[in-house]
Amino acid sequence: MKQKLSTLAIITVLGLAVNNCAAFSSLSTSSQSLDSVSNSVSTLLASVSKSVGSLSKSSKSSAEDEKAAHYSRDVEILVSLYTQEDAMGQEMEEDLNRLAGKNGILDWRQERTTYTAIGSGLKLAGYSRSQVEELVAKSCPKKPELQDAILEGYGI
Amino acid sequence: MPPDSALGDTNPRLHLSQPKLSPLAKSILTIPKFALFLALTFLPIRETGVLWAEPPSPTDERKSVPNRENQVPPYFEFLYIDSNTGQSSGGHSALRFGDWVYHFQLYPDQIFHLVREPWFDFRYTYNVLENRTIQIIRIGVTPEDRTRIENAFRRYYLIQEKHLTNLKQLHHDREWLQSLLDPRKSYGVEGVGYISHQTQSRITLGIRDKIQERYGDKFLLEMRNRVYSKIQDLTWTPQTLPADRFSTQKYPKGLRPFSSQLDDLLRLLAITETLTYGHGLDQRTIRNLPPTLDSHLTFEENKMISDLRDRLTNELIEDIGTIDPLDSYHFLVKLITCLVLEETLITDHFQFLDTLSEHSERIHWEDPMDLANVSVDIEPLFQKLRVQNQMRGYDLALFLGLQDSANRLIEVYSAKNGLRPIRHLHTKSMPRKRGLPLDYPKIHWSRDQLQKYLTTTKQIHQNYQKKMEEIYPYQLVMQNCSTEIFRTIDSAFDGNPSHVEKALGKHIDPSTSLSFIPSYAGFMIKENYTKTKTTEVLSFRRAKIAKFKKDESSLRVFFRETFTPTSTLYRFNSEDHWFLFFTDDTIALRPILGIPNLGVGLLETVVGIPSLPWDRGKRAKRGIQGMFFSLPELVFFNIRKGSFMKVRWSELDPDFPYEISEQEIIP
Repeated sequence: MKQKLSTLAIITVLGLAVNNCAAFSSLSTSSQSLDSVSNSVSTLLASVSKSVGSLSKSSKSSAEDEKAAHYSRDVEILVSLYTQEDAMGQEMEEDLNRLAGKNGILDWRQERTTYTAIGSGLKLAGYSRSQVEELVAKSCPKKPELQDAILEGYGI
Repeated sequence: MPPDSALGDTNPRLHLSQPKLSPLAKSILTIPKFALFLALTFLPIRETGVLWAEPPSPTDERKSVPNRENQVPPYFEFLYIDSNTGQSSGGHSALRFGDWVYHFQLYPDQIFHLVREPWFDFRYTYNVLENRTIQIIRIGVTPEDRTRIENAFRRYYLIQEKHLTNLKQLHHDREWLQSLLDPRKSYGVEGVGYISHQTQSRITLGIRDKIQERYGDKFLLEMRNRVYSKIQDLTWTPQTLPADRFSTQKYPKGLRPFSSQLDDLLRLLAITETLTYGHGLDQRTIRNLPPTLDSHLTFEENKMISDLRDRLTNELIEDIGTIDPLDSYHFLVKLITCLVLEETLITDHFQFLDTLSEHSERIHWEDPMDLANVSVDIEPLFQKLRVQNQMRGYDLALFLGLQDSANRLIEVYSAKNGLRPIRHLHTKSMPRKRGLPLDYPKIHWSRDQLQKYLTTTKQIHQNYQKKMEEIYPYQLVMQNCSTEIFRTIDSAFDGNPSHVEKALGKHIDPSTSLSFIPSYAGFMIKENYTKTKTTEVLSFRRAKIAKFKKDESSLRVFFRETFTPTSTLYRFNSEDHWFLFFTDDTIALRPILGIPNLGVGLLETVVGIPSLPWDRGKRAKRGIQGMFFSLPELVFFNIRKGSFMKVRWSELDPDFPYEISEQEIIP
């Protein structure tokens, strides 16, 4: 598995070097290995999906929309950073907890914005549509609302 | 570890005063804290963008927000902030993306922080309090490049913020171990301090009954036992980061020291205990609005508060089924909020949790009139916030925002009545009073073990701090607020100058040009980046003078406002050294006005000499600084702009900070 990852990583890096783009550039067209994702994003989703009921998307003002959008952008970048690392889902949960708190969001697990941002973060990290579809199907199989939100964030 | 919104947001320009209580003393004060206290009191109002306007209808939009997040605009903005005395004499640089400003600042921890703050805060601090004109250079780019550049700053920010969190975790671990070694030091877990073991509440008893109904009679007991065992099984391990993870470009692994895990578990234990025994709020942790305010609930408020209490109760019952130690703080906030909402409904008057800690920074006021003015200003703003919340309908976030504002309002009144300093927090306050569960497992480590753990943690902490200073250094010329902006822009394009040039029109290398100087950086951008346009946000004083001149004789306004004793705008404060004349809005007269300024600086130095033994040379030093900043005036330069720390809310434009017209263009 590690060797496969290394080979793929090298191919990815070489391919990217030609375009001179960083791995997390949105211009990347090479597909990413799901291995690093499954250690963070998928673990997070699997863990969160056990406790999440229906997602909320309430917003009472444009100011709250902007706050949510700001939080969403942070989550997007966080996800793209995690796809570069081999961290566990628990750590990502802690980071989301902290980011949400900084943005005044207490129930981040219930916020639809969290999952759309995860979807757009995966897109930013260069994951293909099929990879993301597979990821959500495996990580949160019984949570169609979560899946929809992630795919919506990805742009599907 | 509960989310900490204070991390990385502390204003480095403020000097922390020692937490002394001195009811009858007037101390020298750093007024910025006082003014920022007022500004931060109205975080929720500030977020709505409405200060003095009538409460908006539900469909109102905030005025002239530069961009909506779902439409990426084809520009971002470079801000050049004019110079002022002290560490600002070279000016300052920042970037603005929509309503968020990114800028680099050296903090007292000797780490060069990338600060991210709303335009309101930034403009209030620099443009009003520090009276500095801001030049906004709008740089045209494709939406994709704008996103790319903004993402680079977000990445930098998030990576640094994670490092700072790790540093804080290590500090917390040290404190915790020290408290175990020294029995005189108390230790407690944030949020638990609001619970009383002596009282019961029908709310918690009701929640308990519903939990038992849903999950079984033994649910809480089993949960308690599991948590208890987890605490007993906890071990201390050194938390370190490999050297190669210390990078501004690599997201670091999180450190989760023993103390953080213990905090969450103890909090969870307190939650099970509270629910099992139906504990209520400690009445000493509840604050009431001043008697001068009408805190009686309206009919609509009563209904909304009641609905919110019921919603939170249902959420708690739902959440307890899958609660994780990480969630313990948020769960507890919901629970204690439920309890204070119940108190509000019982008394039919607003009740709030005390969210300002006894260990908060203290603001001492110089002049009782300052405090009186603040207390007069605060009240209508609080009422406006209350009305707006009523129109929007309460949720937890809104109530917590109102609670934060109420705490600051109550604090000002209490300080005024008690002639004591004001407790202050730079960010939104949350309920964080510390306490412990009634029954928790004791840590049975020997003294030698504790000492060893503490020594190791201290070493790790110091090493981490040192590494942070290495990767986020500040150097006057090579690594400052301007150079790091250009370097971060470069990182958005993978350090490839040709890509930067393609996107922006030119690659500006701060190491090979004078663009490390903020004003020159602005000049280089205007001259070389494609599609730029410039607007200017006049400093508070200059903007006011411009308005005065519309109704009065320009000459009269000039003489009145230039001379500090006669100025209707400027009030002398302890931030400034003595000076007689403003020289920022006149070039020709600068040398003439600079001479008396120099003389007054000399006078302050001389006056400061006899007081050397008492004030440790503070007055004399200020006099020397006054002379230093007067010297450029003799050769037609200006640095000093004065500080306007006593500006009242009524002096700001109702649409602040968005009242600036986009048509104000400097050719």
